[in-house]
Amino acid sequence: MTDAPQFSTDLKATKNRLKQEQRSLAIKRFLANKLAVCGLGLTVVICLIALLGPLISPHEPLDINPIDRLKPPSLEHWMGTDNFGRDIYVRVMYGTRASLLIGFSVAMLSSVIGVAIGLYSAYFKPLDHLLMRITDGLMAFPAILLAISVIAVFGPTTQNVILTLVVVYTPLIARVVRSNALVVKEQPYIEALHALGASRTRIIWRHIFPNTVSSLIVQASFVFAVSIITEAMLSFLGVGIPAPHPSLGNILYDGKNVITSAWWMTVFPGAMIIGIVLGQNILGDGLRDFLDPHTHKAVSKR
Amino acid sequence: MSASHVIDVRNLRTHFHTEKGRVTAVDDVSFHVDRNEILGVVGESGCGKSVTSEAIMQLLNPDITDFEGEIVFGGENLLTLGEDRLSRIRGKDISMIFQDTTSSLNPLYTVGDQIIEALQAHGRVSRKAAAEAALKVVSATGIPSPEKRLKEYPHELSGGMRQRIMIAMALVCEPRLLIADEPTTALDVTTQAQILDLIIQMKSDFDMGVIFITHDMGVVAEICDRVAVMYLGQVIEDSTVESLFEAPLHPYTKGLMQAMPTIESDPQADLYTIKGKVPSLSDVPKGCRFAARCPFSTEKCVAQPPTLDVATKGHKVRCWHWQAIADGSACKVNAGAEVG
Repeated sequence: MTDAPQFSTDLKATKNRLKQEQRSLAIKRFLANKLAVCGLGLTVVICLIALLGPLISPHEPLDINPIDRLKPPSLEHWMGTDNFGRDIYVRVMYGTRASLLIGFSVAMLSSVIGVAIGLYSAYFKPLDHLLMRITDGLMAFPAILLAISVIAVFGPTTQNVILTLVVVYTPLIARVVRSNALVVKEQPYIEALHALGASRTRIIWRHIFPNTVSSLIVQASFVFAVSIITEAMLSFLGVGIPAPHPSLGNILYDGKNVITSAWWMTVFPGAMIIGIVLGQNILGDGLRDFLDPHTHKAVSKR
Repeated sequence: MSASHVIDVRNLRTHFHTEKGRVTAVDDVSFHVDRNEILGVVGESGCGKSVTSEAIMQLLNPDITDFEGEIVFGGENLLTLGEDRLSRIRGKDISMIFQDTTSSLNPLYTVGDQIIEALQAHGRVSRKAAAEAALKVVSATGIPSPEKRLKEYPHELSGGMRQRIMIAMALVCEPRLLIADEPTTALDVTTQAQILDLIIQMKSDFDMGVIFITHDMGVVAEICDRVAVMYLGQVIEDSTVESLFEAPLHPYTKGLMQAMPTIESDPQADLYTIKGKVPSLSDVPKGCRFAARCPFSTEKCVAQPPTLDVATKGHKVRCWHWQAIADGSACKVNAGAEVG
């Protein structure tokens, strides 16, 4: 009889060990996915730079110093100065912060709204027609044009930029979630849930939604990247983040007139945009391969 | 009729609106199930047996489906109830188990969670109480070490175990009627026997009625009390299981019985088959639906649809000539068709 508790502790230990093994296997699988690791690494590095970078420079993003106008990169100004003598390094850091904030907020908000629209339109046929025609309309309309007109009406503030981009990119999420939900909805276990008398809300949110999460994450990471580009474009056109505040698009706009004489005003913010977007896109591709083993990898193994 | 019927289906007709026009998948089906009784519904693919069960559960898409007749359950006609009332009946008073155990459980949750959820879908039960009820019902299905199984995901269990979990899920609210839609078709014969025993035992434990849908005559003989044989959307024979297997009256049922090889059959001989094929539902014959394939068919069969008549006590049949066929006085007018 004394063997019984001994046996059960053994069983528990084995179970724990198996669980740990499973976890380390998942981590290994993620690490083996080079795309995801590179993308994640790039994104994390840029986030850290944006967060900590301004702390190690004595300059402020709005400090004007007319004597030091358009100075090339030096020990004093690591990325040079702009046409008002402002330090480009600090401005790029703050601009990156603003871009990341906008990208993150847009990705989050449009995911929440897009998921709700996608799930309900997949589940209720009449609603589907209405919502999908609206999304079709939004997608047919050029995103930039829509953003410009909305901001022209409501004024260029960071908040309005975020809200506009949410309107523009929610359809992308809603479409993907809907198409996934339509497949899951026809699964026998959803019919079985109906037969169990589960309510619609329960079926939609507890059973259909978790099955769409993996593609949602992938799509959201692309929306993150695209909205950063669009924000830079809007700022460049003068309808994004209002002028004295640093944003990657604003710096590019200021550098446009002096591009032949002051290359540093274009190269550094441009490189930052490329870095963020590249990191996000690679991460998105990697996550898709990681989360959905059925899709074929873009590159075959040799 | 009497109040003891758990469910009473009367003259049920189910029409689908398809691109080819209106198709009547279930045509004038009537049957009833009593407490502590298993009714077998037998027929080949497309004869309307699954549609009948989905009509009872009201799981069919209402946009493309029309119903006629009545399905009386607990004094209410299920066909006229609203969605709210229906979802309270589904799972609580009428439960259903399905053929495909792999895809009938959500792969993302443990089976324990799914049974608990079945309970919580009907009224506020604390998670702890629900977990206890789940453990009790799963133990009752005879799964070894139930505590452990409840924490596992569907893919970790075998097909037979998953079917037991499905049964536990269906029974956790103690329904009065269980609809089993080919629950053993995907299982091997040993597991099938265990699941059938389980259904019989649960039937008497919970004192519930069971509608058992299958195409396997052997299973019917083993577990059912009464049988309804369906052909092309109609019940063509309705009888106690003893009476049916002793003396099938409808030529189609006779054909089915003959098609089953027995232990005495000559292994060299070809198996018996019913000639011809089932007509399409969009092109239903005017008279008897089996006439074109029936060895005994006459002009009357082709011209006039037969009615479901009481042949002997508790044995109904839809055939003009059942008496003559039983006597042996009917001649095989259509014998040529049978040979070739």
